[in-house]
Amino acid sequence: MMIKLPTTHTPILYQGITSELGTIHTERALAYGTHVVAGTARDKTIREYQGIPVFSTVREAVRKTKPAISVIFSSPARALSDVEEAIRAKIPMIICTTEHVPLHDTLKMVALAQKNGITLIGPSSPGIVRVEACLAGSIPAHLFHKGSVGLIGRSSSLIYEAVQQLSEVGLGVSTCVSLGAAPLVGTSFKPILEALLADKETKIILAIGQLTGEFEIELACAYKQSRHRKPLVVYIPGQTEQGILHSLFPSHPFNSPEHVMAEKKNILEKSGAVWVSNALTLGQTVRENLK
Amino acid sequence: MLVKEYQVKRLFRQFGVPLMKGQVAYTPEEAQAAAESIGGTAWVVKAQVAAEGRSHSFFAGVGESGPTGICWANTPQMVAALTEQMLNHYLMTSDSPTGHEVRRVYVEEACLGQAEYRLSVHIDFQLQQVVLSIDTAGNITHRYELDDCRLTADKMHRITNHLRLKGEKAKEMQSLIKQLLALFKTYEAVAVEFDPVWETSNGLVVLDGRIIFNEDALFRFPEIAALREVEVGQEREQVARKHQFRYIKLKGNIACLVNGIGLSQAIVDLIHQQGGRVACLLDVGTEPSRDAVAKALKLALSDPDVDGVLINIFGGTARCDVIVQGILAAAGEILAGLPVVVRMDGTNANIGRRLLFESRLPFTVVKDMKESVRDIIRQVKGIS
Repeated sequence: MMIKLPTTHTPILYQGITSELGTIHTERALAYGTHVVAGTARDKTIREYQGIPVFSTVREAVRKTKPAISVIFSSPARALSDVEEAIRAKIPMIICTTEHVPLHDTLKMVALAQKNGITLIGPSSPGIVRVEACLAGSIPAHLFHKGSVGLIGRSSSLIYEAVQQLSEVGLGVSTCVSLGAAPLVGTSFKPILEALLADKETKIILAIGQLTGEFEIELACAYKQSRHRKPLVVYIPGQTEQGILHSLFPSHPFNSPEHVMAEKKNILEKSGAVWVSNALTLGQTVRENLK
Repeated sequence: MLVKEYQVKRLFRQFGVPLMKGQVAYTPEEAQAAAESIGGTAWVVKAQVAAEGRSHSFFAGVGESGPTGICWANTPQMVAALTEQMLNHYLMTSDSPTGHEVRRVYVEEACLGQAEYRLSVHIDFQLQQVVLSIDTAGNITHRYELDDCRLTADKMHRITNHLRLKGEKAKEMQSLIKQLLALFKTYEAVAVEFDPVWETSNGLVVLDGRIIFNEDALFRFPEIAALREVEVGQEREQVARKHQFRYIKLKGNIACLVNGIGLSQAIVDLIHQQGGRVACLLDVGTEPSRDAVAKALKLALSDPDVDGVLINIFGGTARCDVIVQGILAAAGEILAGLPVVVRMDGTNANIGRRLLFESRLPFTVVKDMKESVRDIIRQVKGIS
């Protein structure tokens, strides 16, 4: 089943709405015009926040408000139980923004989401922004201009850099999905690519990958098989310093990063994607390929 | 995080893993007494450092003709002599340029038999799966993907069949695999290894092994976190951990202070492409505090390998004005004369740039990533 990108009408639940991060980001989401329908809080005496009904369980929030997306701001220790609660309540898409989730907890939440056919974005994902329509998560939406570029990435800082470069060449973003830069995450590029290919507002897609993992290979296969003819531009950082990879992925046996990068480049180019070898030319390359 | 062999073995023992008899010693006398109390006719003296590749290591100032981190001894007196040579010396292993100071040794009964297996269970980041892998002496690797770290009796049976083990031997291997998985699960590890596993007249024995702990899970295991010892040469890593930023030491002369790992890697690539080399990477993350930025910058400036600092911040959730406050808090060191190039964009970048300007400190503030990389390389070349 294809992932539904949020629109201005998508009902959204904020789990932990009265936590420190929850309040900051709920206010930003509301100011952006996001359709926040409910929140949850552990404190049972809280019934309402900023005019939004607050429930003590996700189940009750789902029964009363039917959210399509839940955004979670929990501590690393609580992230697993909060994601599990949302999965049990059958919310179709869950965005887990928590950083530093213990890896075994991530393994459990990813497996449970897959088993239940639920899209788990993150952990460590700042979420999704449908520009000028919906902000689900902690993405600094004020940096984005509306346009026709669909943006998917692992690292959020590099996404923001790309947004800046796009603005400099006069381009804006339709939808941006940040998958999260943690070593293990719930959603890969492929389902987001498919959603962006089908999205009318999106004319070109920029994907910012990672050296480790097979997400980019899967992305290339999905792109090759798709019937849509929208250009796909891909950039992957991290080819020059093996020391960084060893520190990020302990115990992982690495082939030479140059070799892995060359392999990914080759497969992506064969799929018809445009390869960017240099982080300075993200905006420029997208503009050159936009028909 | 890695811990030392004797600490790992203490954990292994609690899970019933078959090991040789052994004791920790802090002095040559203790080591000799340990050998005598363990008994037997031969011992192995092992330098206790949290490092890999001890058998291919050497001691600083002695060189490769001297002892390695793991030595054989035929008498308790020889155990004492070897301990003497190891204690308070630096063991040079391939994973550390400065070496590891040896503060204790582990004296173990020597094992007679032969190396047969290497067992490991780890999170495979490529597959996003838990993988059990068993290498045999014949250089055959068997790999099994595990769901939920569990092995059914059926799958266990298949594994021992692949290894061509029957009866008692199969049971021994199965119990070893169960212990491996129990350790992995209990401590929420990134990896647990039994390496090597020897075949002896008393059955399978695990001679060495390691556990790679997940830093993000250590809050659940304070007893493990307490095993961390700050070694000479690792004080910087300690500061970074305490103030929650990422510090990665590399081999060049430019320090990079960046927010976010993707942007960090992109900048390191750019510096390389333009002929520069990075001395260290300081990733202050998505929402750094003023204090963390100040500590990160001080750390960069105090590194003797650093000839210049590139600060490249893209404020998203992170606010540039907060980051500049951190930079200015470390400003005393900046006056030490190293070039510092700053590129700042995104949330509150205008305020940040104004604060830098008003400080009247000699920062080079540039407009984009391209200029920042070019400028720091040029300035650093001017120095060396």
